[in-house]
Amino acid sequence: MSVIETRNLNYTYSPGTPFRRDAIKDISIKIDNGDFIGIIGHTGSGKSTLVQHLNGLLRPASGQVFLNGKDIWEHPKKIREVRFQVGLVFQYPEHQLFEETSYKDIAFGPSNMGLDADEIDARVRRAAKFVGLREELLQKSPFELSGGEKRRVAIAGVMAMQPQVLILDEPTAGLDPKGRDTILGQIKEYQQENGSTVIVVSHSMEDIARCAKKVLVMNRGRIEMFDQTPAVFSRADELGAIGLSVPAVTRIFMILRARGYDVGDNVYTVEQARDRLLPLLKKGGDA
Amino acid sequence: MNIISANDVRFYYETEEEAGGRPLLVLDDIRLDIERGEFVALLGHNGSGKSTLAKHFNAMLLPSGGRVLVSGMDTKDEKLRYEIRRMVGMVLQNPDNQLVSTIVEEDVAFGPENLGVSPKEIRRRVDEALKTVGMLEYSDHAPHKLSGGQKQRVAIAGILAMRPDCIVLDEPTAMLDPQGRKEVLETVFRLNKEQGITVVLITHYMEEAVLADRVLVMEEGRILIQGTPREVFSRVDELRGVELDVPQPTELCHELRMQGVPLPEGILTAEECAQALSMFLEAAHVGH
Repeated sequence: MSVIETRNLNYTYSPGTPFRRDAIKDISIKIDNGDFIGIIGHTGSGKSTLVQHLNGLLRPASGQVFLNGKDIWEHPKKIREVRFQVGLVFQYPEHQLFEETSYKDIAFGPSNMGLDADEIDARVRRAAKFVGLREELLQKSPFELSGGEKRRVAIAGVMAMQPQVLILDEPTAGLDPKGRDTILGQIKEYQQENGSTVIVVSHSMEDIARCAKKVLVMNRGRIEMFDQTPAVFSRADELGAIGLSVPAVTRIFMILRARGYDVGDNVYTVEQARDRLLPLLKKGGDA
Repeated sequence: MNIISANDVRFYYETEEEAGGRPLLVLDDIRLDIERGEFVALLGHNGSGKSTLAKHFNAMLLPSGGRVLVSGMDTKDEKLRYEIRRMVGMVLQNPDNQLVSTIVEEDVAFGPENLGVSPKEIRRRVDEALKTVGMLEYSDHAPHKLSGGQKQRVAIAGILAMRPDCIVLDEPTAMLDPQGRKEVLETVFRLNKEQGITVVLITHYMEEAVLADRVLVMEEGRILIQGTPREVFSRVDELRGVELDVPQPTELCHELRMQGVPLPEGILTAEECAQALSMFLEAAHVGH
């Protein structure tokens, strides 16, 4: 069954003013339990607007959002509970840390859920472990931490609510290559261990290729593609036309195919490229 | 001729008493000359000292030991500071932190106004700078309504209006989407090639570093590797050792070389990589 479903979702910023802008148009998607979804699209394509509908931060102008088959706006007063079940990590979430210690910051979400102290403690420590925060950092002020560590505290704060669906809006923006790999690896591990549904919004095709099973491509507020990752990446020309680019190795394979070499497609990481090319190249060596 | 020379530059941050009170060494004997008109990319993971070094280039930081000369002027000389900052402009990572005005053209005029340039000349410079970065049609817009890439180009225009010799950009594209990154990079590249402005670009994106004349890799406050992009990116293992990526085509060739396929070193782009692979695939009679 779909954990999240949207039907004909529309949203307009500043309606009734000269600044009126349609942010998303007619979005209907189904996301299955345990899926790992990547959302890509250029700035202004509606990615962030869409994910803010999935946990009820924005209320659709028209259309519906279903969580486990129930319309999340059926009882508007209960929307808070939806936010516990669908956790959203914003862009640059470290700007929103506010507590005296990292521990308290991570505990903020679970405390609001009305859990008892032991359960909160267990969840904070578990979440901290997932994002690789050392025990001694928990008692430090978040403002004493490095940028990458702060980001991890912020992500742990949402993980500690153990949401059924975890959404991260550009979790790797502004990090160096090592920080990027670490955070993506941790999100992947979290997803595998908990079997929860994860949605990652990113500009980086490489990041998406590395972690997502399915990719949703947004363009001008609409869904351009929504399919398995290999199927989306095989449409490089169309992606290029809407200002997105495929990973460099994917382009290498496209050039080789265009030149008539039968190297196959669906390659988007260096490892895949190497494993595909080696047998072909070795064959020549043996001949 | 050198526009920037760092001579045995050391830099310490003073730490608090509770942390032991020992000064933290961030730059360790940096020796570096940057030539006029050069395009230098500065790489290194967070904390390697690259931003600290860049801040020495326009006297935002002063060395604890050694000297930094900007076109022969010592950055420690307070009387020269204005001239040094006019000559070397700086663009930072977050576009929202460096625009000061509510109208684009006023923002660009801020620098030359502070330099005491005449109003007529300011008008000329502002229009020219906005034209150069392709933002002239936005001159009466509000900066906060622009995209990230547009904001960064306005920030660059603000520096151009001061007629700099050198622009230092500290991860100017880190917060931008691919389109914005492209806009900013193309602008910077053009300024370097067409106007001969020296560029120092700090970046985490290897495909941006590939555009530079020279790549410097920093690690623990020292310059670990330097050379042309081809030379530097052929040292894949060393780069990985300091937690940096190499461009995907370079990495693929390296991986295949490790498995005994004698591909050439120094391949940077998808096109070069496909060309090299074609020759080997041809020899292996694949698909022909």
